[in-house]
Amino acid sequence: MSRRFAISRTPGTSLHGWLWVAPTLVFLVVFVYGPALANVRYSLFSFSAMSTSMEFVGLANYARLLDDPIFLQGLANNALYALISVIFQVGVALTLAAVLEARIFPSFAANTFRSALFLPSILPVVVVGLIWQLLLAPAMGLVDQVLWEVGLGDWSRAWLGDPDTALLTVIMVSQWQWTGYIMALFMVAIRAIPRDLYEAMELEGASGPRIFWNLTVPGARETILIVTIITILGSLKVFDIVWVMTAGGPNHSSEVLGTLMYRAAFRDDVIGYSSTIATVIFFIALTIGVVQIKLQKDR
Amino acid sequence: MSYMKIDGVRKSFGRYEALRGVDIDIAKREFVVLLGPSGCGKSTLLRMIAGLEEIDSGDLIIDGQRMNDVKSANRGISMVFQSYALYPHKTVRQNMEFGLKVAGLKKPERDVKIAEAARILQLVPLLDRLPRDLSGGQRQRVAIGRAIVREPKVFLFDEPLSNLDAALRMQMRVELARLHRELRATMVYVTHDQVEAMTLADRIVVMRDGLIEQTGSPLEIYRRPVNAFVAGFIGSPTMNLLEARVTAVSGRTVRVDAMGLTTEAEVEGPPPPVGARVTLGIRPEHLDGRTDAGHGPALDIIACERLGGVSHAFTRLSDGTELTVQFDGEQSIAPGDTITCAVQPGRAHLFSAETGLRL
Amino acid sequence: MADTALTSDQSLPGSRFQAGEVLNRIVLWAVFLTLSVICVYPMIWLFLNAFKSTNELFSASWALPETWRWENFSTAWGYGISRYLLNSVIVTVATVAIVLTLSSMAAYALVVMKFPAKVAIYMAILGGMILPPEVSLFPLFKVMAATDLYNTYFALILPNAAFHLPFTTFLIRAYMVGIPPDLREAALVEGASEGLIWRDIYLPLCRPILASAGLIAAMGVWNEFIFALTFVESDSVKTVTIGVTSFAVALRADYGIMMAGLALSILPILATFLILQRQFIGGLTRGAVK
Repeated sequence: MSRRFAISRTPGTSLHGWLWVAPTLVFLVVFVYGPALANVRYSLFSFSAMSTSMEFVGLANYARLLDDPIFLQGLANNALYALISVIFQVGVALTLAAVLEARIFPSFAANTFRSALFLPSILPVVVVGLIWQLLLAPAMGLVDQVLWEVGLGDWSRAWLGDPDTALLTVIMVSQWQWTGYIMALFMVAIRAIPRDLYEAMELEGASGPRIFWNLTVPGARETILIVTIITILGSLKVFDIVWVMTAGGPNHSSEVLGTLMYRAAFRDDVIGYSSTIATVIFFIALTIGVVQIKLQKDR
Repeated sequence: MSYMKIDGVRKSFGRYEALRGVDIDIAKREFVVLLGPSGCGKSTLLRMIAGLEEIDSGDLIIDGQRMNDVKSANRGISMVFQSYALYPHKTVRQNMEFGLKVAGLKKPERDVKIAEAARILQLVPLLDRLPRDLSGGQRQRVAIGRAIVREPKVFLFDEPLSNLDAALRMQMRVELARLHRELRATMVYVTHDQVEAMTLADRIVVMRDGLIEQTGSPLEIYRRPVNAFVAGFIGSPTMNLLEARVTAVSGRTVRVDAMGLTTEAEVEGPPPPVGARVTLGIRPEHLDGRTDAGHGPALDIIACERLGGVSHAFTRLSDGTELTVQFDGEQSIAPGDTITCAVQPGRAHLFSAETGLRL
Repeated sequence: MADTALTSDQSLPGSRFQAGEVLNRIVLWAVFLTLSVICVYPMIWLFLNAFKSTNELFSASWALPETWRWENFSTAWGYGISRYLLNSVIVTVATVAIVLTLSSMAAYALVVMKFPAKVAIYMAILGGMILPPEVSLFPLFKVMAATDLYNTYFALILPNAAFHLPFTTFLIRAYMVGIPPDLREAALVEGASEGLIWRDIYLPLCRPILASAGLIAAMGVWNEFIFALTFVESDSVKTVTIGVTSFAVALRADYGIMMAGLALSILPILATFLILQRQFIGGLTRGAVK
């Protein structure tokens, strides 16, 4: 009864609790925060991986970034990646989830569809990249062969070898992999919306799209926000799928910040410059994180 | 001879003072009930005895030892929680065994103690079940069993019956009373239910707003509540508290009148002057209600509760003052009836209208 | 039951509606069937073509193999897939064990204990979620090289653990908040230490979320790429994600064997998924809704 006043559950504040969180904090400081801060420092220097001395160059690396068309291209590519990902993984996935949860299909069919669409997300990104490389390969690939069969041979092209299509192709493969996963997340969120609200709307004769906009979208609002943030952050740090499928090519057309950073550090050995790109990623991620916290607080 | 002593104990949570200086002496084998409304500090006090809350100031002494800074486990106490707090993934046996294992007892010793507790509490057939497969009453018994096996100096109960239905609560009350006799143990029991307090306690401590209002045996508190709050809190249905005026005083005998209801009462202190306003307390069972007129002021019955043996009539005086009157169960009364009533001689309580203290 | 009754009542008013309804359903079935094929068929295609010769592949990649060349698989196996799989298992198991232990400890303290700067510490842990590994990559590489961790299992286990700790702590903490504090208090009165309560009461009660969080972390580590690409170089420590890339490069010309290798590399996870679909999806999506 008088529990509500029992704010402290146990005697005293003690430092004992620190021992329990310390290992986690140590891990984070040593492997996440420490290196991230070191990276910001590195961005003010010019040096190579094996060099013993580092030359302080101030913000010169940042100035160089702004003049680097490849960097600007990469930044734009990340933005396009984020935009398309949000459309698919929030818009499309939510719609698909709403349909699967609307009891239009018999439950075995709905379950099968869910599993089928979920399947790509359990595969390693690298393997997905390699499989699609094969599927998209000219002549041998399934995509090309299907196009020829259905009489659309004109459309056939080297999807990953053509600067016009390389990036979009990689982005679409990402959507292929992740849309089903996000859909399953949304299905969980929709299931948490009280069923009787749906029944009430159905009794009033509301149409499917109406129910979607007036009930499903507001009901899954929290999840939509989180998924949007996750998707944008994911697009910002995308690396492996691009690295495996195009390595940023051809002619840097599918370059993203991750690949630029990696190449600068581990191929071109311009560490300061690489750190500068990583720092840009760092600050964009930080901004997104702050925006998320703000949005969630407003609720 | 005090076995457990609570001396000037205080506790605040931020600016809120949960306990504002509490003293209680508890004798060995005594069953003490801490009684009071929500937020009176009784659970906080119990948790402080248990070592689950720190004592801001004052002393807690058990069996001659100051316990303020002693870990819960070493205070020689067992606690039964309102929620029972059974470990959901452990069987009844494992639940009772946990504390013994922690204390480092060997398996044969543990088995003896568990067998004994299980026998006392009739848990033998349930030993290998999980809590979720038990009824509320059975869980309650396991929680008590877990407390018993540790053979504590003091048992602490935090509203242990409040999650049970009425019939089971009654049964467990009887069970607890038997257990107290059988174990000859010291028990401190927190409740807001005055029936539990009356039936179980050797001594009741009535609390309000972090202070003790009265300490005494159940009958003392029933017969001689020290103030209007205690008077209203003990007894069911609750005592009628009416505004009254002193009409005559002779020696310690004071005559009062409340809207035509007149009676005499002995006061302990100096009597109030004639014409003074006082609070008149009369228990429903101490009012003689009649269906014929002329017996006292007229009362309109608003509602009736028939309990079989007795009936309670909720009535209204002409000025709207409400009055509960107890009738014999055989008496035929109904809402809408008008009755008259009088106070049984020597049963009235007088309290100061200003301070609420007993006069 | 009542729901189906309601929905069927719903379709009553007017046959005009019903016609539209039927058309709608046909379209929806078609859409979902198509999507399912698009999502699943590449896998089937991969497995079928893994049995073919390169020539066969070029002629018709959707056809069944003329002869089932099982030897493609044994050849691929011989290229070291087994070692990569073993390395992945070692790295994944070790990482998940560390992550679950440390994050459940941190979550326990954050839920039940009182200590200075608790909120700030929780924020610091959660903050790790937003930082992409790329940002720490080069400095980490430097540390690995300087400490001889480079090219060992630890070079993968330690950073992977660090990057999975925040989300796992978040999930477990959210679950632990729902465990009645009375249980811990009862145990404290009985003399149990915090360590014992954590191990003997909280961990068993957290089993569902530990399974979920463990699965999520395991999937993340199993599929991890950039650390594996950067911090190890010998075949003896390479995980399967990096293994298959080097393997794919080596076998550029021999597509059948390469596909057999890819198929083998995903077979364990695919089989687990097919057997435990419900648990898998349930586990990976838990924590989506608070």
